[in-house]
Amino acid sequence: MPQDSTQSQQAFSALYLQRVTQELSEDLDKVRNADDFKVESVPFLVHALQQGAQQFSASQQGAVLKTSESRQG
Amino acid sequence: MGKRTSVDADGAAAFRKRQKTTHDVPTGEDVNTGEQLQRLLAFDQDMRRARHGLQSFKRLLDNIISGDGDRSTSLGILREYLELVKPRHDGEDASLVQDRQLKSISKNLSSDKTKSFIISPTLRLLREAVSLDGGAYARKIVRARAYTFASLGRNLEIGIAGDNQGDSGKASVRTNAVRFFLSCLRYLHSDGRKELLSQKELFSHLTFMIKSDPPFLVLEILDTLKTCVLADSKISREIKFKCFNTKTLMRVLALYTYTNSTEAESEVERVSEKAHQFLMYVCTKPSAGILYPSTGLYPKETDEEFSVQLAKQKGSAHGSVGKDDTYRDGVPVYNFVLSEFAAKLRPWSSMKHSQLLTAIFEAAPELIANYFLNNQSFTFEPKLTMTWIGYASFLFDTMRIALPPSFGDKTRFSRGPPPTQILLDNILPLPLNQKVIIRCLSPNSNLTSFFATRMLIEALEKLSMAIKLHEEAFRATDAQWTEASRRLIDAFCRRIPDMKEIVRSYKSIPSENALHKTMASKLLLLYYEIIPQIALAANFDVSPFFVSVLRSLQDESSDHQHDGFREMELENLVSIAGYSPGMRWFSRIEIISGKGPCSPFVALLKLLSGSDRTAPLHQLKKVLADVAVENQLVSAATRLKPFLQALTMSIDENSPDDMDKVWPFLDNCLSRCATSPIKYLDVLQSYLADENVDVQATAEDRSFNLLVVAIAEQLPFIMETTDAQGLASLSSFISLYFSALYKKKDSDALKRVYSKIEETLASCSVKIAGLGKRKISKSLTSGSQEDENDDQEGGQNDGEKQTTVDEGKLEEALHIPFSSPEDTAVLLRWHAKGVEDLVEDGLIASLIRLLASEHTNIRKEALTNILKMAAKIDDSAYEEKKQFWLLLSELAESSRPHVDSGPVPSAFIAFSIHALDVLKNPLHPLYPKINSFLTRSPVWSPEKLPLAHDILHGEPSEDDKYYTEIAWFLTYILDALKTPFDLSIFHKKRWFEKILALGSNPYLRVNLRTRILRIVYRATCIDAGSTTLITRFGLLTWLDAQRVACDVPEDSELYKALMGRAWKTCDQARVRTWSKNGVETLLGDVQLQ
Repeated sequence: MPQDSTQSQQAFSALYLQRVTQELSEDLDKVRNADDFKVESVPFLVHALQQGAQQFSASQQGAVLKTSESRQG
Repeated sequence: MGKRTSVDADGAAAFRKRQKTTHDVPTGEDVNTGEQLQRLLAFDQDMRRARHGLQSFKRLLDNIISGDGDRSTSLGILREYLELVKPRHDGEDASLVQDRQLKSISKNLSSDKTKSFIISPTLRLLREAVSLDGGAYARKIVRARAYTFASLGRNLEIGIAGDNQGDSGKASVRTNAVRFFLSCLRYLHSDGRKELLSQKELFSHLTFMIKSDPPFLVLEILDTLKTCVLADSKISREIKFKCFNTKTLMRVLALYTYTNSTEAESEVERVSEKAHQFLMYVCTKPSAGILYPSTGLYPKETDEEFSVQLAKQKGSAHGSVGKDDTYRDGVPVYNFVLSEFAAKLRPWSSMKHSQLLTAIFEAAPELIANYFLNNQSFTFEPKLTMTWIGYASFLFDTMRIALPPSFGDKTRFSRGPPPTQILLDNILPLPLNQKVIIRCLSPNSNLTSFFATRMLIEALEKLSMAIKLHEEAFRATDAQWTEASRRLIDAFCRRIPDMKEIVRSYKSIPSENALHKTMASKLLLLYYEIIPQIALAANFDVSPFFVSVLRSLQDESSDHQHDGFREMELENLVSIAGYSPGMRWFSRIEIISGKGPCSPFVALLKLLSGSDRTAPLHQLKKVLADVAVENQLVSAATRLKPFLQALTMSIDENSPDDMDKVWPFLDNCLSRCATSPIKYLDVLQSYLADENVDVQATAEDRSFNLLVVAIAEQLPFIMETTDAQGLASLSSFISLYFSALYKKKDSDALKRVYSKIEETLASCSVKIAGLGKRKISKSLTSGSQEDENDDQEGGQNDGEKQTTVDEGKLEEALHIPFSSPEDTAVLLRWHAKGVEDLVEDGLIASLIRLLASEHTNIRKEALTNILKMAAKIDDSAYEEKKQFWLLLSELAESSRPHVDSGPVPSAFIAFSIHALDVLKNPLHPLYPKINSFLTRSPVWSPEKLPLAHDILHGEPSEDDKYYTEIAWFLTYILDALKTPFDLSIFHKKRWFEKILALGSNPYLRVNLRTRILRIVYRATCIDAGSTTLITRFGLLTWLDAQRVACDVPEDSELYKALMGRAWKTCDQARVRTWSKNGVETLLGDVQLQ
């Protein structure tokens, strides 16, 4: 069971990141062009974008994933 | 030792070679003396002789094991041998440590720094010597550090050119010096290490150039420092502190950006990773000795002034407002080294720095407020740069750190709440002020607004946790805590944006940004849930927004992949609508153009009963059911469950087109019920009037409701306008709904309504199944059924969780620490204060407390000082001086006989301290009683509790002040019960009996009852307390009676837990005999055994 939950957590994190990146794409372009953006900044940026995924409870994560899978395409 | 070293290479090889060729039977001889054995076992190149020796030794050992022959003689020989070969400590055979060699070593080491060909080999030699024979000589070599450590500081910093991993031949002087030093650390015992580390500058030389060392050396340094210094618990914190000061930590931190052009990238990365792990270990593990145990959100108490302030804060809420401001200049902390180090980190530009800092915060929460207060220069002004994102990420991670249990200090938690400002800074870090957050929320950037939204969500959730901590257990009724909770919420509300800003931000989010909108709607909901005073002030009309979300969910042309988020958004908005009194649930509007008007309530019902929904939408279901019950559409017993079951089944049975005819009818019925309930209530009454049932049964009727009545009433009106297919669907739905209700409970009224419907339908020759004939299939309805059951069960489980009280909770609820630590400084300090200050600052109380000290001389000093203080007060111009003088003098006279033999009875001390508060305030209801008590007798009897009789048995001084007096009395009595001596007074004079009798008063308020339970709990903490209470005062039966009598499940669990504690702490064998085993039956009944 714990393995399942970690897996679905990862899946949700990935979905969340994809969603955030898409919704904020315009601003992220500006950040990428900022002076202080370096190659090393990428992991930090990813961490920053993804960290909010923890704000969703396990059941909420499950519901979003389920809907996303059934409606894809 | 020279001999032994030669064994190594050649000897071993020779041994192996010969072993293959020699097959002689080993010979052996009897050993008679230790010296003989030593000779036999001395190293010999000749294999035969060597084996002879070993065989002889084996024979001796066999003798010892088998026990044949003279075992003790053989053991004696062995012991003699071991004595002979024991390494000698006088250094005669350690030729290296002899004066002549030492001098030349020192000379070599101090050679000109260009002569590395001399220095390096010497250092290697020393290193070998240190590690020789498991470090047997390490101590001696370090002892001779005047020679062996000559110029070590300098050598630790000589050159690194040509350094190469694995090739120690070319290693620099520094590398050799470092390895020598590390070997010393590794092979010394804790005491030696301490001595070595005390050479402060050496440690500094060791780390000074660490950034330019080759990777293998850096790794070795960090490993050794970790295992041989930090993890060595015998090295004192003080020494570790000196070594790992901010400077050292900064040098390790510099390794995060370690570069080395000649090394492989993986090695370089290993160094930076290792440095990170090292710092994480140093800064977050208490066992490493650098992290100091701290008191969480309670700031370090710096000096006595501070405790006085604290004491003041206890008494008045206003005092603490002033006190809060005092932290604007800094929060005193235990971990000052970490605080200094934290300030040097750059969490906004490096993820590792950010991780390290948040890990430090987690390990020492006291640093959170301290850090942001000390580092205010870095602002959070929104900018689309990596630095801003980095800072935002760091702040978010900081906010995610949970509040420590009991706010970090159990003892101070039991005394009162932590300072509001510190708590607030933990919930919402200082850089997040109202102005900045509003700017972040501006519609100019989705990114900053998204980040700010997430942070506010985090802050509100944390705030709600903090409020919960303020309201749990006894704190719910404690004025200090309620006041603190109010202050916290007020301060929080001042720090966050107004509701209108949040609404504006929500409105400005593009509709395709489903996630962002979900988060923003969650934030709106949290405003309603946690700080409704702010939310409701904004007059926010949520209906247009949730209509638009509904629309996008139902709009077939839009992208549905992220409906999961949209559904969550919808749930949030619907929950908000549940909070808004102005929400028009039943007025019909055009939600999707071309589909006709529909009320939001029905639109949501459609969504809930739709079969293609994967999300459970619990929240939505709950809000709709609440609305339906509130509008009396359905009974509170069934809620919407039968209705949803019928809808779900209908949708499966009928085509969407057919359902399109059912929905408007239901919509109409629902809105009629909601808009004119009185009319339908009358009709409902008429159905019931025929029925011969009592009112109680009607109220509990689980199936009959207004909606049923409205359906029956409205049905004839649509018969004419609906086609046959539509009527068939309608009849099918009605039969399903009534059957579902019927299944819940058979009711005559329901039958009557149903037969009316049957009549109506028959008039148009539409068929309908008989009542209860439709099968409400479990499999079909399981989805909704389970969900609702889940909801209910969830609620119950929560309830159960709250009601079980374990030992920790019991302690938290009832345990009051015995006393605060002795403040002996007061013996001197009071002299400098004026009489008014003495009275106001609580110095008198501190002085009186010293009478309970374990030390005779402190008690004596306290007694003398009390007399002096009494005289000083009497000489002053203070208005109430006589009473204070009298109280202190009587206390001193009563205590005098006890001071020499042990602590003064707690009752004297507790009475005096609590009487002080009364004397300060002439309006106190006990003022007259205390004054007359003081004038009654110059000395108090140690066998009595002062004043207790007057309060418990005398008339109250004013009629309505009885409970106020009791409250004062119970607090005083609790303080008067600390030692076995006190217990004996309570026992002999039957005070327990009186207190328990008081507790049997059914009208006693909760807080007074809690005080009584605290006294009982206190007694169970004292030796033999539980046994006395059980066998002399029937405590267990009393508790059980209270448990049965109380209605609140939490309280009854508390009694149960207290019974458990009394049983656990008593002399069980004695109690068992006393009760003739009845006690076990009693405990068994309440499931404690």
